[in-house]
Amino acid sequence: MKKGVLSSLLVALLLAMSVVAIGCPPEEEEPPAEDPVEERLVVGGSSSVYVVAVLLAERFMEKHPHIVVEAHSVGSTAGIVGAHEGTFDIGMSSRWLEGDEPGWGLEEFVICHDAIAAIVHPDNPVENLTMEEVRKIFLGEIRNWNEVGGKDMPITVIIREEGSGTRAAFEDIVHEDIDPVPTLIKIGTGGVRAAVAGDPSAIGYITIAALDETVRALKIDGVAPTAAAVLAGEYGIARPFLFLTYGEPDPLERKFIDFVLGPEGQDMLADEGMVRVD
Amino acid sequence: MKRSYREWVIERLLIAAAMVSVVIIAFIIITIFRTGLPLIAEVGLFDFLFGMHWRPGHEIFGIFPMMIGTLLVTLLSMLISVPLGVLAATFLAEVAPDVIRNILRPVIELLAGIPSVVYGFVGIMVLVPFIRTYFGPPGFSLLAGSIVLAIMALPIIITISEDAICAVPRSYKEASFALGATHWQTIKNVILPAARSGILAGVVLGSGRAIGETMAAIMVLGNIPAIPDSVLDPIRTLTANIALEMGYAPHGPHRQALFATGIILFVAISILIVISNRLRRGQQL
Repeated sequence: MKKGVLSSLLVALLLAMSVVAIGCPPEEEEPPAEDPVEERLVVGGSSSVYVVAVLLAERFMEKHPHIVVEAHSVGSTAGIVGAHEGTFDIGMSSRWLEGDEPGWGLEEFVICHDAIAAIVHPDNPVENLTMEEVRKIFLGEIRNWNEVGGKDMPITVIIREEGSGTRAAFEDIVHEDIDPVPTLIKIGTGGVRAAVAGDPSAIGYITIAALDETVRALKIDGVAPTAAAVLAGEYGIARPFLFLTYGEPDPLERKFIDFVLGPEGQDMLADEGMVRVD
Repeated sequence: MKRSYREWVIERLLIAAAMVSVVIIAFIIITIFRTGLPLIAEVGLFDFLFGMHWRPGHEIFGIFPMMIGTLLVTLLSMLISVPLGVLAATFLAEVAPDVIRNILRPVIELLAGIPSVVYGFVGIMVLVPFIRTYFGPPGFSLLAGSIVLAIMALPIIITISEDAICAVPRSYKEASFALGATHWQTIKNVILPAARSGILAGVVLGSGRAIGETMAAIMVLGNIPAIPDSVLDPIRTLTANIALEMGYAPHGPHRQALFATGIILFVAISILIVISNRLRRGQQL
């Protein structure tokens, strides 16, 4: 009987493995019938860059119907690692490479510069904060809106999850990497925007590309977050948007990068409020 | 001869099919322990379990606030769902006419089948704004999470408790009636005590559901890794900790720390399942 169980265990092992094998069919089987070759480009990373990458990808696919660009919003760190490990053909990051990442053999392409806006609910009467006030709010030293000229209500401080490029850039620029004292942690750019849109006492931060009518961007030291203000050096909370390839980009990757860096891609980025690099 | 051979093959196949789940569990256990244990060894079990700070960026890994968060949200959700669930099960098993029972049973099964993200979404859209408006910001809170998880645990508690109540021998009930007890006295003094261990098993499994739930928890709990001062403060659970940060921790000690969080969860859930099984078999703990 013991032997029986042992042999069954072996069969089970094989069965389990076959399930795994069935689970992941090889990808390159059966190219679609019509177009001669369909090419697939997988980009992934920062949820901030993702906001503009999907627009760029859509336009690019219109121009090149045989190419499919797949965009994934997983965060900067995962984008950088993904580019290195081959999960993504092109990784997206909203922060510079740091730590040991520069040694991984990744090629960097700055596609534009972005400003990070501090956002509040549209009903919040506060329009302007000084950089010092923003710093104190996120470090928990200012806890009520009435301390900065608003209504008497406690501030709901909403930050991004650990590892977010936006969070890294914001913390680096605004409060020099001292740990923030948040009220809530939300996943992704959209998560922060939705939470701020639903809470009149909230403050959060997102890329200016993701601003819409559900939230209002604050002026910092009297300057609104715009591409012009970043270019003029008047708005300080800015960071680069990066595309990353492992080694030299291959022809397909090069095609997409050239499109993004070319006049059409740069025009589109400028339309989204980004600072162009050409 | 041929027939016995066929029997042999079929028997082996059946055992093998059952073994697949064992093998898969074994793979999972090996993976989480092999990745997570080195980190626990490095940080020290005590510092990992009772460390007050979770700052993966500075390689400080203390999961105590998350353990407290999981514990509190589980206890509070059970506080809500156990009375509701046991009373509902009693009603279904003892009081409800067939018509109502035939409507309620499928509805409760449906409750169990709704994906957790839907519960979380309703929580964000309805419950969180309600709490924010009437109890004060931020609304994402221990209270919101407990209510959502309580609703999610209800079907388990109701179904298992109902089974336990139905399994009480008919003779107990008849004897009680024969002694002149009313229906309520019989339920209170005879049936519920007799079904006690089965009901407890349901409660334990229900808390397992609350501990393991991730999506709905992330959506309504606010995710701050700190010990809350009140039920209106946000918390982070152990499961939420893994799901929140896994995308950002593809390598290094941060990833190991998330697997180590998984080990703690695995141990906690295993203990609960053992307790629940013993209760259901009617053994003493």
